[in-house]
Amino acid sequence: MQPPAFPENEAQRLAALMRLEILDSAPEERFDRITRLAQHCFNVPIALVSLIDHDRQWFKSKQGVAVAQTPRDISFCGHAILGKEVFYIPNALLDERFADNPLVTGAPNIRFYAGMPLSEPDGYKIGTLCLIDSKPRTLNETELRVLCDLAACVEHELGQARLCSFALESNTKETRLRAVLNTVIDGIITIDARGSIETFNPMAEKIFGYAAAEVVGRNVNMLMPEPYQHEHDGYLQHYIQTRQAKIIGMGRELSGRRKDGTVFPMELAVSEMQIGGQMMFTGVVRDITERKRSEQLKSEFISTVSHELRTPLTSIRGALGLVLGKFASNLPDKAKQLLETASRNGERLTVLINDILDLEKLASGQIELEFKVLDLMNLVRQAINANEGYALQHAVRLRLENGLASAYVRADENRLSQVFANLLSNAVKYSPQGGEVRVSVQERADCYRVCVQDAGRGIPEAFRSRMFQRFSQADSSDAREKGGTGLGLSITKSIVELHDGSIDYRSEAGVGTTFFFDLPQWHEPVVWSPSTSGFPRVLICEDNQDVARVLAELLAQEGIASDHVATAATAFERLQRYQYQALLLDLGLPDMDGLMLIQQLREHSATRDVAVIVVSGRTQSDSATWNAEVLPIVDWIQKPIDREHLKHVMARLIHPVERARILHIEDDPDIVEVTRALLEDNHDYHYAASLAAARQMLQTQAFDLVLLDLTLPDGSGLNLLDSLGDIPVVMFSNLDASAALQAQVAATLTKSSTNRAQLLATIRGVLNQKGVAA
Amino acid sequence: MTLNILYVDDETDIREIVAFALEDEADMSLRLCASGAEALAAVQLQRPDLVLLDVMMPGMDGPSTLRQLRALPSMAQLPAAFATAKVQPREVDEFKAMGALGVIAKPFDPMTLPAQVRKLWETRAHG
Repeated sequence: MQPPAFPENEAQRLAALMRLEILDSAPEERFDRITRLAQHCFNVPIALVSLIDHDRQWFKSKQGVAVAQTPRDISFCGHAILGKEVFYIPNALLDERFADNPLVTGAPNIRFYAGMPLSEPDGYKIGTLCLIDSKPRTLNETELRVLCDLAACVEHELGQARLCSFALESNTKETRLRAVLNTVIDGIITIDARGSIETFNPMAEKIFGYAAAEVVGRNVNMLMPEPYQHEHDGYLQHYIQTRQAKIIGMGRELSGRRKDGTVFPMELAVSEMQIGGQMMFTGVVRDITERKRSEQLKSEFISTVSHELRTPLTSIRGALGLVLGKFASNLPDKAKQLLETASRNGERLTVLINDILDLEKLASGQIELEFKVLDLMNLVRQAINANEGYALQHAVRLRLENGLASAYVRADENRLSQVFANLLSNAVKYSPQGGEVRVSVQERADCYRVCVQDAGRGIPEAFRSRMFQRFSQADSSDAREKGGTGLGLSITKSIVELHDGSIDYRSEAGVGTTFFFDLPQWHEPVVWSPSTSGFPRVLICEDNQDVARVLAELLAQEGIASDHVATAATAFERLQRYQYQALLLDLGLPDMDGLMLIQQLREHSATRDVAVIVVSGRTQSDSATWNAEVLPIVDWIQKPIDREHLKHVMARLIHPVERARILHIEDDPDIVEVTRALLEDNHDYHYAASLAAARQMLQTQAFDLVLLDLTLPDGSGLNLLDSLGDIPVVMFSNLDASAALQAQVAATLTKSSTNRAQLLATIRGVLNQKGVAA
Repeated sequence: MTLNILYVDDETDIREIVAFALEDEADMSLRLCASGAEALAAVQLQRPDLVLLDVMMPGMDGPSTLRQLRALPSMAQLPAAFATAKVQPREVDEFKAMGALGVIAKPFDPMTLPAQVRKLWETRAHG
């Protein structure tokens, strides 16, 4: 007997069979009906769908046999799967491969065998559809074809089996997923690229008060209050076109609108996905009404507690202070000592309450820092001065060891002073008597590092992880011995981090501790507007960029170009080298007070006459030290900026004497009407519809500006240029002006691409340049 | 000259402390009120040089009291300051925007209170 060989791809073949998940499954009618059909067609006692496993053949469908499987090494089918055609043995007794096979010599006494290999969807031969008879027989061509056809039917069913198992699997997955969606505590909504709602989970139903059926297919903007409701479609389109996201990919706090119309705070995270080539968005919504309410309650509670605690504390501290201050000499020593203890602890309680409030406000983001550009060096010096008294009490010296000429950072002055006070007082507290606390400021790649170094006993390494936590002091006896609340470093860290900085320390037992924090460097944004030669030009010196931008825009509307610097030093340098019609000057500058800059300007010949307009939050009367007679300025504009006031001041500065007379040479009555409407409020507007009419008017009247069309009924506007003398010309035509022409006129504008504001700004600019009221 | 001060606070104990703290100052005279309403009546009896107001008082709080005081005839320029625990820079700015000279931070040190009051008063003289 010859046992069947293993095919070359046996491992893959077996894997493919396993993937079908069909071995040892229950009988199925869809296979049984094929084997029944084969049994009848060929009039054989046995027909099988036999699958060749590693060491056995297993019958997925069987007619005429009782056993479910037989060993592979005695199988006929094992041979059949090695080929592609029908494997056909007319009489096994005559075939030496099978003559002594136990299935031939014993039951079922096989004589005839015909098996067609079965391919699974990937083409591996996993078994056969086979016919068996105990009598020898032959098959003709037609019968062989029928067997192949029936085998093809089995293969089709095998393919189906795989699909079914897929379907089953994905069904299970979807069921699981759905179960998750149904039970999560967040509302989950999916929309398509048009904003149409596709799914709406039960929590979303609960949050918004709509049933899924009421919203699916409708625009998601129904869940938003105004103005988002109107803006959403546009926003979605904008995102799809530009990929510029406001919410997608990030989480945000927004407002939602429930079915009953109430608006509530929610947190929304949106992500984008592609499903079958379709763009979809998934929004995860969390109702944060409760959280907001408790935040509100907490902050009210803290504010109340702070008041309620501080009121009695004011009395206690006051009473103790008065007794000790006024009657100490009349008190027995013991009583005085006890009162001093009470007083000291009153102080401590005050500091503790202040610290807790501070920390709470920092943690809840209730503190809005007032960022200004500051010179860190100034702040360090001030901090050392402010804390020197405290250091002397402890017989410790504060020393600025290493500094820079200047170190600009964007910071909240008060809060940063608090950081210094905390680090310096800590360092002093833990320094030995007669010791020294050294402060240094270093420049690093993108930041400045401030170090505060003491020569104290050091901080145990085991304490590191708790260093910046609340109520943490390395030694619990410290609180009593050293004073302090144990909140200082926690507050300090919060403040530094709100400045986009970081803080850390290094310490060595018995040698000392260095706390250091890094703050990002500030770089002066110097903005030169594009050169518009000849236009009036103003220098803006302002360290707040938003304010500078607003000023620049206001000036541009008046046809005035502007450059922007943020420090007095750069402003001074700029004013010495270039001509400006005026300086718009903020007073609270990072490097010096603006009033000192005025003084400096007046002392130098090149800048003595610069027209200065102060633009400041300070009022003129706040500046008691400033003398308008010694340091004259044009005007003082108080922030917030009154646009009309600024406009007026600028107009007066850049020569307003009389209304400018404008001659518009234009034959199109519609354009004349529009231009007249635009200009006549502030200018004397005249027009001429032809070159002839224009020439006549120019002979008899004086004009400050000519607005000139090129194509006129009696010739080109260019013909007029020679006779205009020094009257500035603004070319306003449908034709693009050549470079040569541009050089001959003050400005050129193309009608089709010029809006009213541009026309007005250009005319004002040209008039300003000439020194006529715009 | 004697500086006539009107101190307004609903807390009896704190009024008493203030009275003790200022009693030895020869150049100051003090009147006390327990509410905004009392203060409104008191300023009309005699115009003080300086009004010091607690902020959190039941009924009419400090800022409302200041507004009503300033609305009285010839009181529009009445110098005033707040004595309060609300001393965040932003809060102080708000008080100043209301027209207050400044703030005395609570809890205050009674021994330096006279000096603090004088300093506030001087701010006004410069303004």
